[in-house]
Amino acid sequence: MPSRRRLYLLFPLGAALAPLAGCTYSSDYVPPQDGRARAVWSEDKVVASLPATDERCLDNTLSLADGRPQRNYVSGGRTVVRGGPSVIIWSPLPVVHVHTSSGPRVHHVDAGRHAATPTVHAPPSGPVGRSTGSGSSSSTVHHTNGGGSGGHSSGGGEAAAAVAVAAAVVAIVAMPAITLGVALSSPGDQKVSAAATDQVNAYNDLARTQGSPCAPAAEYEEVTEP
Amino acid sequence: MSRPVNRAHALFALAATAALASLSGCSAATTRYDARVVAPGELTLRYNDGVELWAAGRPVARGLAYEGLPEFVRCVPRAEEHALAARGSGVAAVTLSVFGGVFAVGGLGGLAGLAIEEKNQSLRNGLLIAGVGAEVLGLILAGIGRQYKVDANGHAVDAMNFYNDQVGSLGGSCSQPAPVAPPPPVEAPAAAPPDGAAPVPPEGAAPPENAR
Repeated sequence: MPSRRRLYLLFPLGAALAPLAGCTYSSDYVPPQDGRARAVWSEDKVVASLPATDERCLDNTLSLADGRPQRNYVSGGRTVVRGGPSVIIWSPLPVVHVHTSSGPRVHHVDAGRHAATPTVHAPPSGPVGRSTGSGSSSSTVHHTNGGGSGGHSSGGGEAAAAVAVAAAVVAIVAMPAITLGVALSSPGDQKVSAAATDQVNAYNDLARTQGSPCAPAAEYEEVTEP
Repeated sequence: MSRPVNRAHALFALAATAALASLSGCSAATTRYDARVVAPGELTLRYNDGVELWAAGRPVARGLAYEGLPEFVRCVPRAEEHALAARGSGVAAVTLSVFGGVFAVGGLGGLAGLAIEEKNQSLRNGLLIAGVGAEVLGLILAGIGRQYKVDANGHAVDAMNFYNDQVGSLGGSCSQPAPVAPPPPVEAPAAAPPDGAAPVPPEGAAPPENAR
C-alpha cells in the first residue's frame, strides 16, 4: 500500500517536471557559405558557425575572443563611396580601388576565391555550469522519496498517512524555490552562448581587417584610369 | 526532544537544502568581446545577463520582449516573421513565468493545514493537497514558460541572421538602403567580324552609364 502512495506522489511531480526537460528550438536558418561567421541558435544555446580556416586564424580568433592582447592590424573596412559619406561596407569579395579624375570608385571583383565550407566550432567548454532548477528539482524528488521511505516503516495506516503529510509539507516548502528558480533563470548554458558570440564577433573583425591572419588572401591591384 | 519535533526539523532542513540547491543554477553570462568592424546597419549579438542585439553602437532590442526588433528588420520579410515570433514568445514566457511564481507562492498557503488539529483530518488533508496542487501547477507553468524563453531567443537570433544576410552586412538598413556600387567598366568591344555583322558584346558587360 505505501508503495502505491509513493507512486501517486510521483505522478504529479513527474508531470510538473516534464516541461523542464528538452527545452529546445529548431532553427530553420542555414548559414550561407560566404566567408562571414555567424552566431546560430542550436537547440538551447548559441553556437559559432565559422568558415573553414587555418589554425593560425582560429588561434587568433579564440585569443581575441578571450580578451588576450592582439597585434595591431590595419582596419581595411572603411571605403569611400562616390557621392556619399564615408561608410563601412563589408563585402566578402575583394575590392578593387579605381582612382579616376572624379574621385575614387569601388568595384566588387570576383577574384575567383572559392567560398569556404562553414564549419561549426564548439566553443571551448568553460567551467561546468551549475545545474539549473530542473536538475536540482530532480535530486530533490529523489531525496524526498528516499527520505520519506527511509525514515518510516511501511506498516500501518497512520504511518502511511504521516509519510504522505510529510511529503506534502516538503513539496510545499521546496517547490516554490524551485519554481521561482525555473521562472527567473535563463535556459541553456549562457556561458557557452556568450563564448560562441565572442568567437563570431572576433572572427568577423579579424576577417575584415587587413593583414590579420583571418583576412582573405585577395588578389587585387590598383588600376589607374587616364 | 520529542520524535515529531525531530521529524519536523529534519523535513524542514531537507526542504531548505533543496530550495537552496535549486537556486544554484542561476549563473549569468556576459560577452567579453564586442564587434568593432561592423557595417552601419548590421546587427550584432551580445550577452549581458540576457540576449542583446546592437547596431551602429546602440542597443536595438533585448530579450525576452525584443521590443523594437520587428521594426528594425521590417524590410526583410523572413527576418520580420522571426522577430514577431520572438516578441510573441517572449511575452508568453514572461506571462507564464509570472503566473507560475504566483501559484508557487500561493501554494504555501497549504501549510495552514498543519495548524489544524488532527481530529479535523479532512480539512487538513484538503489544504495540503490544494497546496501541493498549486505548487505543481506553478512548476508546470514555469516549465512551459522556460520553453517559450528558448523559442524567443532562437527566433531573435534567426531574425538577426536573415536580416544581416539580406541588408545589414551589406552596409544598409531598413531605414537607409545600402549604397549601390557603380558597375564595372565596360571593356572595349571586339573587332567587327569580316562579314560586317554587329559585334557581340563580351559576356557580363554592363551597359554604358549614359544608357541608364
